[in-house]
Amino acid sequence: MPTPGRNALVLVNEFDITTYLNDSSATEDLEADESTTYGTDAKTYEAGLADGSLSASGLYDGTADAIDEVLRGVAQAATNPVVTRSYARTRGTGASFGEAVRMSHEVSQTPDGLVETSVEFQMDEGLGFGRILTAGLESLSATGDLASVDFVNDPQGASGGFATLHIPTNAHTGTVDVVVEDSPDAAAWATVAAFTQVPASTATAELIRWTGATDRYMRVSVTAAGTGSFDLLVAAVARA
Amino acid sequence: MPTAGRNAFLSVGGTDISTHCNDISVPEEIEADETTTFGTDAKTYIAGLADGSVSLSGVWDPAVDTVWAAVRQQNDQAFQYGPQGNTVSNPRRTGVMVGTNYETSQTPDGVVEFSMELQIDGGITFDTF
Repeated sequence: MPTPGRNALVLVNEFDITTYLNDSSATEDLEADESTTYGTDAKTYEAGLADGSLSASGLYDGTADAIDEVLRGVAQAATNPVVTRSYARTRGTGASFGEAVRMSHEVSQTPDGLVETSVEFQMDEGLGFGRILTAGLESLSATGDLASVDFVNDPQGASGGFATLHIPTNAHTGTVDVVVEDSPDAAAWATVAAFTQVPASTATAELIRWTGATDRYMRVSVTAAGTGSFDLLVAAVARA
Repeated sequence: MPTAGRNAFLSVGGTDISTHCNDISVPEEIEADETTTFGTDAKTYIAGLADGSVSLSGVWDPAVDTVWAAVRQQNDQAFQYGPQGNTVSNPRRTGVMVGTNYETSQTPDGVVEFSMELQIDGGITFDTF
């Protein structure tokens, strides 16, 4: 079923830059290493290393806390940014995400248009094409288990996986613990990986990785120690 | 006789992906190894190695992610392409491949789209369904 393009979400670390953007894409390149030898009529290849990038572009805004200041701050930060692009805002919708090791950021303009901005992230250790486990940026305030996502026909291999977390807005007065769980039947759940505990009133982002097999169903479990709301986006992928 | 483009069949890694695609191309290239020597007025060649690829694009669906997840970083993944569909006796291009590129993209005024590139491993077989 087609997914309208207009409901994308794009977050870079704890910053939601969605409303500045009007174009986004994610690309995974896989090397094909040639293995041709004598005695064949056609070239042969072996699958090689994967590489990924995530790009977005839209309208420049130079005011405080807007996209230009956000991207300049991310570029100058000492740690790699966590980037997630969700195709829509429904739980289970597709998403592309990862940890970026470097980025390029451009501002451009002509006399007859608006000032535009674009950014490209080079991902470290690959790009995930997975699903979001939250209903877009989901507003939460209490402990609970979110609804599960059925990865149905996606490979449930033994090569682990990874997940990203973004909390751009946090008015919660206590700590927040977010855990990714899996299940073979959406009834019996086990922890796959846990994000670092989030302090009260703290906006944050993180990428976590796990090894081993991942079951068909995944969900987010939240432990919220205080009161007040926070917005949460989690995306996850399991590798074959 | 012209062939309508709407009936294409494409299977990647054993999964029929036709209904998600709106553009498919399967180029085959044969190297021409130059053999020109002195005493000729024109370059001469002999046929060399064959090489091929599959390019497809269309409307993204989670099922397309599933297809990519199954073939990425895997060798000898099967593909079948039928320009006229997969009815028995229709022409077929088939072989095995490795996935080399997958992209999803979107703008506010359209739908989420995808494109995929596959490197054919060991040449294309031309036969029928």
